[in-house]
Formats: sequence, C-alpha cells, structure tokens
Amino acid sequence: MKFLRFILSLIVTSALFAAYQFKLSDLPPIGKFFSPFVGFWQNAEPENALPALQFTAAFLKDKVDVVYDDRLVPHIFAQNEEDLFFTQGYVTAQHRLWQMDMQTRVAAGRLSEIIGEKVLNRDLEARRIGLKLGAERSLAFTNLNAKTKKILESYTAGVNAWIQSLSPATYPMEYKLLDFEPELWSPSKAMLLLKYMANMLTGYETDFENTNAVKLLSYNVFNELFPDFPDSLLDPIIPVGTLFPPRMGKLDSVGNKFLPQTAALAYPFERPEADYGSNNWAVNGSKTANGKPILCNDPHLGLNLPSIWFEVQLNAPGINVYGATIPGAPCVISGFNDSIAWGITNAAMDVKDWYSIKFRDKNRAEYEFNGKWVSSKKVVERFKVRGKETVYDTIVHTLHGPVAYDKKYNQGVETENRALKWTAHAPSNELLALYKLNVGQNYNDYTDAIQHYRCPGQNFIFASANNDIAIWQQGKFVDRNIQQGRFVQDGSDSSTLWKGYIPQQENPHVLNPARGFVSSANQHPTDQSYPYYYTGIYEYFRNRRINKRLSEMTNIKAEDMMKLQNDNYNIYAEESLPLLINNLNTKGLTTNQKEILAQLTGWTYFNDAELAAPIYYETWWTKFRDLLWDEFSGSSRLLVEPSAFHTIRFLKRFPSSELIDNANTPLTETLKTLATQSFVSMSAELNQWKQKYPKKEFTWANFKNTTVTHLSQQAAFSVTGVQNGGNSGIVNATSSKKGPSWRMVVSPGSKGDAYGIYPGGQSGNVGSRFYSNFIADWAKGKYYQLLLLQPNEKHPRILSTQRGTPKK
Amino acid sequence: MKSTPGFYQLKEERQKSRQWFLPRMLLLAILSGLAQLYLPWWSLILVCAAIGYFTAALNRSPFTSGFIAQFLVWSAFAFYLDIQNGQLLSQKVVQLFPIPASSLLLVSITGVFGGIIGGFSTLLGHSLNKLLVKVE
Repeated sequence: MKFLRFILSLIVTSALFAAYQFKLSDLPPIGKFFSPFVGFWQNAEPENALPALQFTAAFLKDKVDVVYDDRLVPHIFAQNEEDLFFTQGYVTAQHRLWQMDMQTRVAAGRLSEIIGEKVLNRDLEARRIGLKLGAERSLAFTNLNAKTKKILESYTAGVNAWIQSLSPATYPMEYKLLDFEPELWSPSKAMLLLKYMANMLTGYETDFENTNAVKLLSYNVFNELFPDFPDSLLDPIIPVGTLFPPRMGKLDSVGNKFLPQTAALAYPFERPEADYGSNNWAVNGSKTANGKPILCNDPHLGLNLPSIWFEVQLNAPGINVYGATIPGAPCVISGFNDSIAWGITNAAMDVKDWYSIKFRDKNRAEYEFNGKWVSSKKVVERFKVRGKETVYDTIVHTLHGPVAYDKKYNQGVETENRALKWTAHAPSNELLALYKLNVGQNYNDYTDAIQHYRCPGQNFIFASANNDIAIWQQGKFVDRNIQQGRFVQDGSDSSTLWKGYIPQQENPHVLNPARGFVSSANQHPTDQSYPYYYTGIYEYFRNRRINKRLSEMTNIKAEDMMKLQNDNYNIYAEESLPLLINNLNTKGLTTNQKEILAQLTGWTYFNDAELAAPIYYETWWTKFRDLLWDEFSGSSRLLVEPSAFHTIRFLKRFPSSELIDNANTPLTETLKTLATQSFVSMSAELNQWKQKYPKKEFTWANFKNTTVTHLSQQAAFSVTGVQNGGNSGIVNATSSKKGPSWRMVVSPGSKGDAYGIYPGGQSGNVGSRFYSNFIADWAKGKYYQLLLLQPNEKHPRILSTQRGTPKK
Repeated sequence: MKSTPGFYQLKEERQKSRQWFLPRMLLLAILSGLAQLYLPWWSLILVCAAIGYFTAALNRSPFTSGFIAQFLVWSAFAFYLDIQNGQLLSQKVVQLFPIPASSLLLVSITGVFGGIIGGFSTLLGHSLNKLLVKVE
C-alpha cells in the first residue's frame, strides 16, 4: 500500500515535470510558460516602465545617451560612429529581438528548427530560391568596404550585448510561447534581412503564368490582356517628354527564342503578393506655402506587429539622421537629416527570370548548353526539424542559378527543371548606399549614395533644404532584349542569357522637373522613348491620382500632404463602375437591389471608411471579373487574371470580344449578362454578410476588416477591425492585410516640420503600452511630429534617458 | 464503555496534524518561493518533496498543504505582476486559450498549475518517508 502510494506519486510528479518542462504539443510547456518566476508573467512589465537608466558595455569607447521621447523613439547620441551603431543594435534588440530572429529565420530557411515539420516546405523554398546564397555573397562584398564592415560589426556587437544580458525569465514572451532560445546575432543575419526585403519586393513575377497564358490564348491575345505598355494613361515616373540619351549598342528585337518554348506547370512556391506598393513624392518651394520643399513617403507592406519599421534618431559627429529603420539592419531606410530627406517606393522592374534546364540523365550531373554537356554543381542543404530527423535537400546549380523547381514539385517528373536567375543572388552593398544617404547633404551626395543600391530596385525620392527635388529609379536592372524575361526561357542556349545591365547613370531619373514635383507609385518609370526594354508588374491608378492632385495643388502645407496620403479616391471605380451600371439589366431588380443601385449611382468614388457604397462596388467588380475571366480560373494550369486596369482597357476596346462569353455554358454571355449576373450574386452575398454580423454596422471599414497581424499569426496578439478606408490601388492603399506601413511628411531644412506615423508601436512586447499604440491614430490619418533633437537638448516630450558607459 | 488506546492515539495525531498544517504550508510557500527566485522553476519540486519528507510525521495532508502553498505562491506573484502591468499582457494571453477572457481567471489557472505540481511534489516526499521510515 505504502509502496503503491509512493510509486503513484512518483509517476504523477514525473509526468507533471515532463509536461511542465517540455513542449509536448502545440501548447507551450506549462511550467516554463505559466511560472510567474520565468514564464510570460515576467513580460508583464509595469505599465509605466521605461528602459533601464544605465548599461555598460566593453565595446563602448565613450559614453552614449539614449534619449527616449514620449512615443518610445530612441534618440541616440554617441561620440563616434562605432558607439552609435553599437547602440542602435543594442536598443533595437531591446525592443524587437524576437522579430529580428524570426525574420532572419524565414530568409535563411530555418523556421522548422523551432516550429517543426509543418513549415519545412517554406524553409526548403527559401533555400531553393537562394536567399541564403545571396546573403552570403553580399556579406563578403559588404566586408570589402571598411566603412560598412565596421558598421555591421558594431551593430552586431550591440545586438549581442543585449542578448547576453538576458536570462530565460527576460526573453521576449514569444520565445516562451514557442519554447526556444535566442541565438547570437551575426553580420550575415543583417544580410539575410536585406534579402528578405529583396524577396518581398522583387520576388513576385509571373513567368510561369505568362507562359501558360500564351499557350491558352495565343500570343496576340496575351499581349492585348497583358501589354508591356498600354497605349495611354501611363503617367510614368519620369515626366513624358523627358529626353533620354541614346543607348550604347542597339536594342535587340523580339526573337522567337524569347517567346514561350516550354510549357510551365503549377508555380510551387509561396510567393510574396503582387500589391506590395508604395507612394512617394516631393514638391519644390514654388508649390508650398513657406517656399521650402516637402517630401512624402508611404511604403505599403504587410501590416504586422511588431511593425516592420522601428523609428530612431542617430546622432554622432558627422551624422544626425531620423527615420524608419528595419530591426536587424543598421542605418535609417526612409528618413531625413538637417539638410535632406529621402524616401523609397518599389521599382517593380522584373529582375527574376526562369530558365528551362535539360539534364543529360537522372543524375543531373550535366546539362545541355550550346550543344555541349556542362557540369552542374550540387549543394546539399541541411534542415534541422524540431522533433524530427534532420532533412537534406540537394540543390543543383547551373550557370543560370539554382534549379529551384524540379521533380520535387512536379510529382516526380524528371524532365521539368527550372533554374532561377535573379539579381537578389548577386553580391551588393545596400548598406553603403543607406549610410551615405544618412550623412548626405545635397543632390550630389544623394546620387553618390544610391548608386551602390542594387536590389530590391527602388524609386529614391529626394528633396534638399536648398530646394532641389529629384527621383531616381535605382537598382541593378537587366538590359533586356524585347520580351526577354516575360516567359520561362530556354536555358540551353547562350542567346537567351542576360546580355548585361542598364548602365547605372542611365537608370530613369529626373532633377527639378518644370512641373515642380516628382513622384512615384510603382508605375512605369518611363514612357516608350526610354532606350532600354523593361518589363514588370506596374500600377496604373495611384500614380494618376497623385499626379493629378499634385498638379492642382498650390500653396501646400504639411497638412495638405497628410490629406493626400490618406486620400481614398478610387480611380478604378471611376473607370469601371459606369461600365457595369450601363450594362446592368434593371428589369426584375428587387426593391433591395434597386436601393443598392441608387447608392452606387450617387457614389462619388471615395472608399471612405464609413460608407456602404464601396462594399457594393468592390464586391460587384470582383464578381464581375471572376465571371469575365472564367478562362483563367477554369484552367488546370496556373494562370493569373488580367489586372483591373487592363480589364477596363480591354472591355472598352473590345466590348464584344468572344472572351466575354463563358465557353462552358450553352448560352452566349455578353457584357450585359455578366454585369447583371454578378450584380445579383453581389447583392445575395452581401445580404448574407449582414445576417452573419447583425451587430456590425455595414460600413466599408467593417467589411474590409483591416487587420494588423502578429508575426506568429496569433489572433490574440493582433489588432482587427481597424477603422480605415482606402484599398489597394488607392492612394491610401489600406487593404485587409496590407497598407501604408510608414507615413512620413518632411520639409527638409525647416526645423520641426517633420511628421510621421506607422500602424504599430515601438515596443515588440505584447504587454507594453507601446506595443500597438499608434494604430488608432494611424487609422484616423493623424501624424506625430518627429523630433530631430540636438545633443543635451531639453525637450518637453523627453521621457527618460538611458546612459551607456564603457565597462572598465 | 472503555475507549481503545488507538482511538486516543488517532485523536492526538489529528490534533497534531491540524496544528502543524498552517506552519508547514507557510514553510512550503516561503522556501519554494525563495528557491524559484534564484533557481529554475522546477526547484519547487525538490523543495516541496524535501519538506514533505521531513514533515511526514507532523501532518497527514501533504497534497493539500503543498497544493495550497504553491497555488498561493504562483497566483499571488502573477496577480502582483498583472496589476502592475494594468492587465495589458494577460488580456491578450488569455485569448490563446479557450476560456473566458478574464485576467483573474488566468491568474487562478496559473495558481492551479502551481498547486498541482506543488501538491504532488509534497506528496512524493511524504510517501517516500512513509515507505522508508518505520513508525515506532
């Protein structure tokens, strides 16, 4: 009896220990997670807590002051640049360590080490598309420059000083939830982050889909639906009429070899979405109230918590800069200093191509090139998987790049192999460009800085206190033959290789144009007079709205620019709704449907948060396009529908095209049939929505339900139902998951005239009052004044100062 | 009627047990709390088992005293941190679990988790003592 009692209590206690100490399922270990001594309760920092007042570090050469303002923005004052970047790393890690760790793991393909088998495919993809490869090459290249090597090392030392000050009790809460430990930072992780951005911004292309579409529709129809240059309404970044110098050598015409040769299959990879866009613009003093230029930027990225951006001011002799940084990478990405301001939007030029590879045999040791067999190189990649055996993946490398797509994604078919050629694989030193921008004083410094920026290509907008405004589309861009890179290309022939790159000085750019403003919104950089061929997936709506408003506006103040960044005018509605309404058969509409039609007819095309009309329009338009492009959704091969812009353009040119008919039905559908059918199904679906959410007001904001999602995808740590209007394709590009991730309005040279906000908060701690505190103001279109402080300046908005001193 | 000696003995033991219940519980709470401040959370298992072992003769309800002691330590500390934090974190963490979104409930659950392992650890020490030590 006594023995049984002992044995039973021993078994129960041991079992409890196991469940409390080890992660046995998706749930965290009970003891480690719930214990108030080490678990998540330790992250419940006192509500008015501020970072510790002191820290010491052996790395520091001199004292450093980290002045926190009332939004928890650190203003770092150091006596030299090494201490400055050390402290940037230190304070960034202090607030955002887990996020830095996760994002680099995503890029490195090391997520399954902590999450387990369910994310293994994602890791395999990251490794196959070569993000780690590109990061390694860029690190070697960045280290060649003494300045950037030093910056990277200092920043890394700072992150590590913070990590080494932690104990299991003080790890960020997410480490406890997922039950793993932070590992030391390294310069290669900063490079991985830059490749993570490169993938986000240049990862999307439709070579597979285009190849399939040509097979389905013929080359001529494909070019109607996916034209390189639409004949009108282009409104490019570089004003039409700007003269470009003639190119070196001639532009090669379309060769058959650039047209689809081989069938493409399903695209196997998780790809960044198409509509990561951004806006930026600058006006010179002739258009502003105080005669000083104003520069604005709002990059549209995934809306996440912790936010992709972290605000800082960096101050040391020779540098005094404020702006948005990416946690994990040194320097400011979009910001301003005493003399200049700059911002970025994505260039959207296609720099990622697929080549079809013919291997000699199953061994894949040799592939055909110019009639010969060339040796391939095999690299075995290793993946540790939590709770499972280590997985190995052999990636075959060719002269084009890694064969990312092969039998693994194709039910074992040996003959379908596709190699990836991508500028993200090439060595580059984006950090040098950022550093030089941070310390730049004028237009020459700006052009000298950005020339080092290669991938992801960006539209760098610029304004200076001495009234220069400019924009450069900067990156390493391919000098293509006409049509090259739109389709999967034959990789066995040297004539399909990239013949070179567009000379950097000939990248599209303009300085002080006559119209008094420069702008970009991911549209075509140039009109067709640009002497190089390029292709990409471009915006056709936001750019026109911005340019129209900027042309009209005079006597501009910062508030007017804030209004423009929050502008909800919907050009695609203006151009497509009349078409829908004119084709709607109003006979037989119910009272409810007539009411909807009346609302739409009276709508002035603003996707404002509190309206119902945008819900009716957006749903109708989506359903109409689904019916119209049945050819695309009904195919077993992967295809992408023509964009909204190209759809409108096509319907206006060919209102009775046979593509309008759905070939799978006995009837002959016309525009009228489709418009009416989609209207009826729209009204039915929206009635269901109203029944499903009887307590929610039927407004665009509630329907769109903009959500700022925690990186772990946990709803508990995310913010839903953000009350904001707009949509992708609108200047305020807030869709349900994406939107203006950082809004900045700056007048360089006018002290204090700088404003910004992002939908998040400075702290990465879910339990901090600084975790998501900007979101409500962001949704209302409010801004905060950004403080470019002087050393030892007393400012009423200063909360506390953290002093770093060298360790004796 | 004459009572058996066993009856008196039992009564005496019960009294002794009652007397020692609170002191032992406090001892469990204080020592295990101190241990957890400096050592990993599982140091509580060792502390509770040791106290359960050495106080086995004094008290007959080791599980209850171990449970209550650890319930108090974990829930009180969690409650303190939660109040300081203005319940910002607990209001979010509680949503991870299929329970009503109450911070106080999360504090109580924390206490129960502490209590369960505290109770069984104390019982383990107690029953080891009973197994090894012969009663006179």
